[in-house]
Amino acid sequence: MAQSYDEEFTAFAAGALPQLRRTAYLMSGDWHKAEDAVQDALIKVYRAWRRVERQEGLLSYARRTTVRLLIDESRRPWRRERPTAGHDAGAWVHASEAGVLDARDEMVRALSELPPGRRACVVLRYYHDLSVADTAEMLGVSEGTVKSQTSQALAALRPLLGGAPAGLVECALTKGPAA
Amino acid sequence: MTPHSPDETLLQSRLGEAADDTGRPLTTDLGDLLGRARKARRRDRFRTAGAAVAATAAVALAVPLGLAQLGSGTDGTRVTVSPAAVTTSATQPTPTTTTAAAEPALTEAEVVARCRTQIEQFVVLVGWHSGPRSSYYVVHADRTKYRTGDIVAIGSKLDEPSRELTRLCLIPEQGHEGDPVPLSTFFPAAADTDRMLQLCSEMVEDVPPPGKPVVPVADLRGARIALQERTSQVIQLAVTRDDGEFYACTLSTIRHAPFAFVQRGPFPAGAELSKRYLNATLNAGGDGASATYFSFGSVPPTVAKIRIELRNGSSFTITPSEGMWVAAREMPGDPEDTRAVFLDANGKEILVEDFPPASERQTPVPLPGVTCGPNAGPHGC
Repeated sequence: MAQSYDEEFTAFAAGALPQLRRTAYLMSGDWHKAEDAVQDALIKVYRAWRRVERQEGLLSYARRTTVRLLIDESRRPWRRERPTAGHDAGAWVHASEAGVLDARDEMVRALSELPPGRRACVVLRYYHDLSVADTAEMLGVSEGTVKSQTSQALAALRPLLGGAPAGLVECALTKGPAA
Repeated sequence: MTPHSPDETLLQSRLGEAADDTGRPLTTDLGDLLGRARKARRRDRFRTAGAAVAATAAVALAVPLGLAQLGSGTDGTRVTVSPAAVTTSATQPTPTTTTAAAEPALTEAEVVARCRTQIEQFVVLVGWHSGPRSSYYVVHADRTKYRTGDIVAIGSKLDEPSRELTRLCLIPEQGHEGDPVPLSTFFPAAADTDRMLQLCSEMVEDVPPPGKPVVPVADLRGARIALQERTSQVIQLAVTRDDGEFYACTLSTIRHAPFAFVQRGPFPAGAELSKRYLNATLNAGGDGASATYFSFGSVPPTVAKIRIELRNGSSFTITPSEGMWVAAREMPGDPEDTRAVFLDANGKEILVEDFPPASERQTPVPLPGVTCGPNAGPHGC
């Protein structure tokens, strides 16, 4: 890769890192793991720079790669790091300065209890506002799978959202591609 | 922008709040990231260019590696050596260690002192990027006496007090602490069983469930490697000990995986084949070029073959031995969902397992004749 590509990559990485890390954090519940995953995804972007630039958006590719890496990672029952106290799930919960779990932690913890595929559906559909079709493409699954996974995820999240989102389930099942 | 109901808007808002990274500065060094990206790119190019010569190298190295290692040995050992693995071993020979039998065991402080430089280079070697740490310790100091030339796991605390990272070191001779260590040290050749068993013995156990202590890793030095399969990036072993227990060990150079050291066992403990037949589907090649599939498990005598089917229609078949099976295959394309089909001697399907299951709930389906043993692990019985 020529010097100019390196410069382009560095500029792209600098711009994309924060938003990719936020996505990865919602997926993993761990800022360190999130940043690790984004770095890996960006390296893949570099390796496929010409093809990706030609065929699809760099950011879209990076986001897809990040999400898929984290799904693979969470399915894998082994890690390179291990906690010395408690379970990894502990990393999902951070006390606020007042020692009280705030709403952010509650949301992340609720996400952590979802299987990775459902978690990805929620993040892509409602954080990134992607359509069912785009979410399906990003995850490499059918639209029907996205709908059912989203529906099941939202049902699980209902208590967190005050019991109101019953309508969300219907919405997830009926909403079509983005306008 | 998709139109939203109030409920969806609420969820969207909550997700936005949850992802607030205020007070969480990025720690990525872009220069370091670019360097790693370039290195990965060079590996891609090397792999492509090397494909043509790999077959030649395999033939040339078959004799030095020992033909008895290939195919089915008289002792039941099955070793599969891929050309890529042979090439790896050839290009990065494992250094001969010079352990002096009379050398007294090193103290933990001596081990750490000798290994400090190496484990900080290990980060570069394997592509991990957590950086050096201030405090190191020998993970298995209470169990194992170490001497020059041994593999040792060194632990270090991460920023968060609840987490730690383990790295490996080939204990150097005094005065040679800064000598380079090739990657093949941690990815030994097929014949280097002692080194593989050292690596298997030095790693950490799985993350335990909440409230459970970390399970000590079994010491497999002196055990027997019953089965071995390997690709250029993964060595999958089944190991037996004199006490009759069986273990699986995965040595891997795949990024984001432990460098080595997954042990699950004792092997015959599980009826839950779904937790044991396939442990990972990993993107080994990146860029959609290839994926490495590796797995292991224990099966009752009724199972004669295990066929692993990929979503793209390709498949490969594994033959169990001594009640165990291991698999390691590199396949083109992105990692895909897989299916394991367990067959009896007549080719009849006994059990079909999808990974991950459609529901992503790994509901185990016990095989007939297999019951939970007393050594149930955190991943099932």
